Amino acid sequence: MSNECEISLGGNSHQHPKQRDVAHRIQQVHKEIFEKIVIMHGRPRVKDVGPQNPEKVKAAEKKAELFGELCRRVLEARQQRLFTVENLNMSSKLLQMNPEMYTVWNYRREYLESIIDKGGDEAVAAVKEELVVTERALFKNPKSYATFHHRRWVVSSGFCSLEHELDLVEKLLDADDRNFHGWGYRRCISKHMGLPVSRELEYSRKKIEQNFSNYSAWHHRSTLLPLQGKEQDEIEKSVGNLSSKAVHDIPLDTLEEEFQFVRQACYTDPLDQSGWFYHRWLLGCLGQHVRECTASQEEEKKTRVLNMLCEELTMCGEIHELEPRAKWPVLTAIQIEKAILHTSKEEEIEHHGIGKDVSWLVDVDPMRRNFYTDVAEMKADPWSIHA
Amino acid sequence: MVRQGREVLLTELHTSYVVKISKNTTSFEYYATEHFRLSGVYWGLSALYLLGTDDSLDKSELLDWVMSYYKDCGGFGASERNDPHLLYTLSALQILVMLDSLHLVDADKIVLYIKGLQQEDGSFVGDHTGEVDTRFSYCALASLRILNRLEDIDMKRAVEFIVKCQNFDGGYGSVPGNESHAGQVFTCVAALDIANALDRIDTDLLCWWLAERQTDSGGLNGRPEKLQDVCYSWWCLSALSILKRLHWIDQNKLIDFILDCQDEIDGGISDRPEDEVDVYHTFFGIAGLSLMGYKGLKPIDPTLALPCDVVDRLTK
Repeated sequence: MSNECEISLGGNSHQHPKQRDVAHRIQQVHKEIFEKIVIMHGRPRVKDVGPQNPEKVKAAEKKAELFGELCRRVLEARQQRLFTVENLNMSSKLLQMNPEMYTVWNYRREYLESIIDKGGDEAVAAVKEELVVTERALFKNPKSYATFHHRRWVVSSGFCSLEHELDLVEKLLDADDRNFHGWGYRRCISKHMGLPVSRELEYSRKKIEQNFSNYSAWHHRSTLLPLQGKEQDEIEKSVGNLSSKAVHDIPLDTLEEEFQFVRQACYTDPLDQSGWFYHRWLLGCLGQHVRECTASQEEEKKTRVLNMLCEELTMCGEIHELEPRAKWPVLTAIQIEKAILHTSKEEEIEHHGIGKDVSWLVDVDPMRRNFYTDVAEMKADPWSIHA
Repeated sequence: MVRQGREVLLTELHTSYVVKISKNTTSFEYYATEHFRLSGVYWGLSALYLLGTDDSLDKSELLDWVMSYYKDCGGFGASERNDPHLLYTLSALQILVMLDSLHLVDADKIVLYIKGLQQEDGSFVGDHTGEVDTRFSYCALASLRILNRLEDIDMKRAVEFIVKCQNFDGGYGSVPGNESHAGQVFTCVAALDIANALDRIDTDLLCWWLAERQTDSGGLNGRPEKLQDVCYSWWCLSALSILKRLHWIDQNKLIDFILDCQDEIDGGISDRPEDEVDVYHTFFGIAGLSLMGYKGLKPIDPTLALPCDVVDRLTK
């Protein structure tokens, strides 16, 4: 038996003989039962050819029976609020196999609540143990809503280190950099810790440099950029107002840096959506400045914005030459050209533009032909750079 | 390209698959899925309803089952041994309304239960343990819509919370700041539809993002650079349908993808071709086909995920 699978079912000596038998039987077939239960996604379809193997059928029945027994014992303990060491241990094993059993987490929570409330060494020890339980569950099933929710609650008790939580999240995101539970948990912990925006921006940069296709990291970045340079209370107010319709006063200097950063993603893999979606958002932020430019008469700013738009248009042209069938640079160029037109500088388009229109996109990306047609017929305008 | 034997929707096979699953109450899978069983019943019943074969299920047995999950607080648990939760309260109401049996529950009690789950900031928690998620906003609003009691919660705040979950790409996450995901997009768009607040959505931007979920396979994914999966035929499609831009994806290619996910031997639909089938993907595949007007299927309402004729019965 590997350590990972070993059940500790409490002191066997004072177990009822019948209980000992169940515990023993569960341990015997632990290897099969304690495999991660995968339901609903990513299981290959297997068809048995010929008559059913009776041995196999019996084994499957046995597995179901034992698992059913384990569930029965734990859920009964929950209903009767019996918090014995044995029941709690079994609940922990059950949660490792099937972490979305929210009722079992509720059971553990009820047990812990009174201990944590009392505080002191007992609370610290109980929290430490629960972190181990949830960590085991997380490393087997890193995408469990219920596990993260439980851990968040345990950590909120204040009896443990938040730095350790950051380490845990880093490990999870190293294993799967698109795990949105992990990213959400990171945002929650960093908010608790009052981490500076710069630290999180640095982390997102690190993840992006590891993998330009990390949409989750680009998203993370989009939540941080509008907060840069703001005071803490301003951050509180502005969180959750990132709709494209909301006004972002992201300074041109920052936008310039971000355009340079995302350029690497666009050049490295012109076919990957992630960088291009972020790029579109940056253009939208630039659009805010375009609107301000046309409102006021600041010539210097106007020129700067126009230059930035032209630079991006040039980039699109270059990437289009490298990857002639990639839609993203052409799609992006069309948006930028619209914005430039709005500043009444058609000559810039002649100089920098790609010279393709929406009909080219229909040819290259036929699945979305109706979308492109709607755009061409002015029935839709997703980018509103020039609004 | 649809594999041989799967070129059309295999109505009889899917019916027998769902019936078989509903009878298998001692399998490993039965225990392993108990923590969302009530939703499983909703998926199975709805699938057959859309196929027109719902009489294959014993409805009075189903009703007994569902009502045995009803808790004192007014909510429903995933099973009789599971604690009450908003997710399963919605599933219960969806089943009851399909079986024309809403009268079996005390509407006032359920409304009080749901009201008690709304937070200061307008969000909803799933249960007393306090998990916040826009899925729960949808569950609350859809439940109250079914009971015709929308005025009993703070709708304005509920909307404001959802709006806070909008991201740079026009999509929505589970809480403010969380990444856009097609599942959350459905729950937020549908909730805003119920709240009559679709104008708060950046429709063109979001629908373009949703259209970009269609991969070369014809199937849809839930987020950029992820694998296609039949369940996104519902999550993405319903949102596109509510926002009247269903034509922005290639429906024929998607239909072929869904059909190719069928099990032509034993029935059922899987997440992608050649994977194991399950009731969840069976329902969402059929629901997606229904939204696209596939012949022989009853129409489905994209906001409440219920057959249209059932929604018509609800008090306006």
